[in-house]
Amino acid sequence: MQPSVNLLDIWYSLTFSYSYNASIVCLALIFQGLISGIIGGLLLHRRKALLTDTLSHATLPGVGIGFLISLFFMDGAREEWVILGGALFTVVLALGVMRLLERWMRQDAALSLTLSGFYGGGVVLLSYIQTIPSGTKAGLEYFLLGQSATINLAETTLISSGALVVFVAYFALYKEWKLLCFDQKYAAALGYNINLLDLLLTILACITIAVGIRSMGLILIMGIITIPALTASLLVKNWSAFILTSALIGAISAHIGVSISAGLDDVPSGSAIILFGMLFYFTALIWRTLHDRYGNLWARHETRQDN
Amino acid sequence: MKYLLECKNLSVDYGLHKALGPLSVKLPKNSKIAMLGPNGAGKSTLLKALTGVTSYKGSLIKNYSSFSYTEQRQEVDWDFPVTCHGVAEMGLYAKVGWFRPLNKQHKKMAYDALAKLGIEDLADRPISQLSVGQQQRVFLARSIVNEEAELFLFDEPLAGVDLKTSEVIYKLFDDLISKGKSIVCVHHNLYDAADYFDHGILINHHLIAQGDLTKVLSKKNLESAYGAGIAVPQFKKRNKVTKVASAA
Amino acid sequence: MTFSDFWQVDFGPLISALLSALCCNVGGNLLLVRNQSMTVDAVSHMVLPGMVVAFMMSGEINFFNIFWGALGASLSGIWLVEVLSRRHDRSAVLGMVFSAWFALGILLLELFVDSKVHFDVNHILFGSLESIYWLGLRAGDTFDLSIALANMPADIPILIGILCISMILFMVFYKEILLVSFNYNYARCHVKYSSFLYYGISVFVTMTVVAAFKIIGLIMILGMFIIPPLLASFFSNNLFSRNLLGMVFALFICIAGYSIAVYVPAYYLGEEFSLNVGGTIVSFGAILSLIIVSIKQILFLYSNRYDNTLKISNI
Repeated sequence: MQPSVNLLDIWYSLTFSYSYNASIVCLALIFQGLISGIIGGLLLHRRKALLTDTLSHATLPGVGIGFLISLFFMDGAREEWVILGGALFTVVLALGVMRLLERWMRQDAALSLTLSGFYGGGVVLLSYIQTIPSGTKAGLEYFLLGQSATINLAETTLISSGALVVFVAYFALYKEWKLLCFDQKYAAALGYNINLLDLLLTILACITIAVGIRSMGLILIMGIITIPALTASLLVKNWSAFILTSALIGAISAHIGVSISAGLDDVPSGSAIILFGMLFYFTALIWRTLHDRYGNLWARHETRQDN
Repeated sequence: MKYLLECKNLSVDYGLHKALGPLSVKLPKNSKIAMLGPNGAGKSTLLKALTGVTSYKGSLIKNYSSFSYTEQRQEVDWDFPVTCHGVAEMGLYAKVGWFRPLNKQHKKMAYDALAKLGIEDLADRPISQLSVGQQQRVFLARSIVNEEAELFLFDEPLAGVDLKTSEVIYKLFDDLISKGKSIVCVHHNLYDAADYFDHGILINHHLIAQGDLTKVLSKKNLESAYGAGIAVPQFKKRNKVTKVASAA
Repeated sequence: MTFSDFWQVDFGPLISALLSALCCNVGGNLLLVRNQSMTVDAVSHMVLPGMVVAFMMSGEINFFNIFWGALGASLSGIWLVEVLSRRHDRSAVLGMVFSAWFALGILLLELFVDSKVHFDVNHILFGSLESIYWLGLRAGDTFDLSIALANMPADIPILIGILCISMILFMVFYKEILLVSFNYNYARCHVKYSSFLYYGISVFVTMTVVAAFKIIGLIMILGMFIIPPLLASFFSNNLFSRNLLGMVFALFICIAGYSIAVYVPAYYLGEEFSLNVGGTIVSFGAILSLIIVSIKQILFLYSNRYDNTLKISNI
């Protein structure tokens, strides 16, 4: 079975002139890419990138709980905000468990224990939902692998309001994030409440993940958070430029990925976005390697510190 | 005089970054050698090249059969599930070889090494419950447990340890020298270097000076290593410190 | 439920779950002490493209095709992680590589595998423990060993093989494993060939993941790797006894989780209800760890015994 390729559709989607629905989807994913880039950049320098993985898997029981709530209390109406609210609830719960466990055991053990516990619970809940005779349970597995094509205006509004929260928090606390990511002990010595800032950062990550599982799926969300940040860390060495580059790379790969998926049948948008991001990453890696080996390829004067 | 170790035009690259420029060093036998230099000068890198942990370019002539290498204390995970005695035993693994278990005599040797550093009562304690000085002593016990080694390479054993532990280490160095061993040690503190060592290598990516420690630590050498304005250490007799420690 | 029912219906899945838990425990202990337990999560996601490619090339779901395909994909992924983590934070690289591999797998699946063919992503994600049938097992007079062995699911001999080999290797190389896990640089300059052991552990873990993930499920395999060693680490401070204790815990959480998943819903809700077995085992283990670590912390806070041991004597 060969995929049918329509280059014109890709171009239309890139220029927001494909259709109203496709433009809505495109917009939602661009917002998702932007905030994932910002949060990914911050988490990369906090050395907590795998926290995303734990938190995204912890959305699964929330999806199940949200579905059950809408089934039993709302007459089966599939309200997306209930499911997303359930996801956000369990993610924040997982975050609380994580922070508690981190004091008692090694960080990676705490991460894995929380991940497997919550995900296992989610799987149990889903297997219970499968045995309930009534209800429209179709589409629950979209949260595992993502399904962006059916995003509607309400969901785009949800994603963009989540993005707004992240933007506001990022720009309002710009210098605090910088300090936190660079040297948290110094920040603590200056009188900042490090625990509070760290909690805020992880809650922003929770929001990014909760709004992202609908479009990217709970496994691939890890990619859109780490890939732009790692790519940007190869390209620029300046903090504010780093976050900006990371956000832009996230947005661009989301835009191109979703457009390709609009033009090519059978290409899931999540995979296209991640693989396009990897293309960016490897290009940046080659550029950085050449740059290190043969001197400055970019017309900027970076003085190498030779201590 | 035959040297313990001679390296000619030795250089180390970390990926694409030049960590240690080409340098030529000669180390005399049976002496306490301090490796000095500013942060990032490549002291640990040189040590790693000598032990073979990192690859290097250039030639290295080794006139010793076996050595013992001790990493920086921070390099390992101190929550690892092992006791102090277990760490000390690790120094014998290479001697015992693959597949063979340790026998009673080996366990006794590990215990003796701990006793030599004054921590025999900690033998069965998990290493997660140790203080900084005790961690360093366990590490040193591991390095001296194999008595066949001729050269002992230490990476900053004196960093962050208290007076009592540094005294134990000082005695350990003397003990090793009296047995005809040689010591190469990365050291940071210029001001007490002369207390512990008799020979010095001053590097800052390249070799700046080597030879007798008091001559190496001249104003000219130090300024070319650390930049202008560094205070040249005054060399005092060590006896005073020893008395304070033994009185306490 | 009678004994005969158990023998026919539940024995196959239960023994597969037990064997995979025991296999995972060995690798899990090694990863836990190296602070690399999230590697399992990454490896388990990386198997997908290899499985799809193996399926595309052979056209059938054969245990061995899937095994080699998955092994190839995850080893290449781990290799890329090792290379790239010289440049970046290892955890971020893990996340990047596994999501890229997984995305590639999904893409290949959508593009080249006909949806009519039975290649179910849900089976891979949630585990196929319920679909393991060991035909030919009969209690009483009709039991025939040769029929039972001929119908044995392919996973079981593979898992038994991995378990035996891993336990033998663990005992033979115990002191080298200890040294390499504790201080790799020291091992490298003093013990010959220790780098083979270091990377051999990663390869072995990958093999265990590949052999066991079909049973427990792609993501729950992390729980199987980490929960029994974690439970053991609360009680023991020695790698060897942790391994043995972890086996006991692995057996316990498997049997308890299986019972909760299969018998409890059937008893209260009716025969047709049952929960996902892998998920129940893992979440039961996680809750058990949470309870034990909480009790341990409370004891830690309210006992003087610990204060004495923690006090550094004045040497």
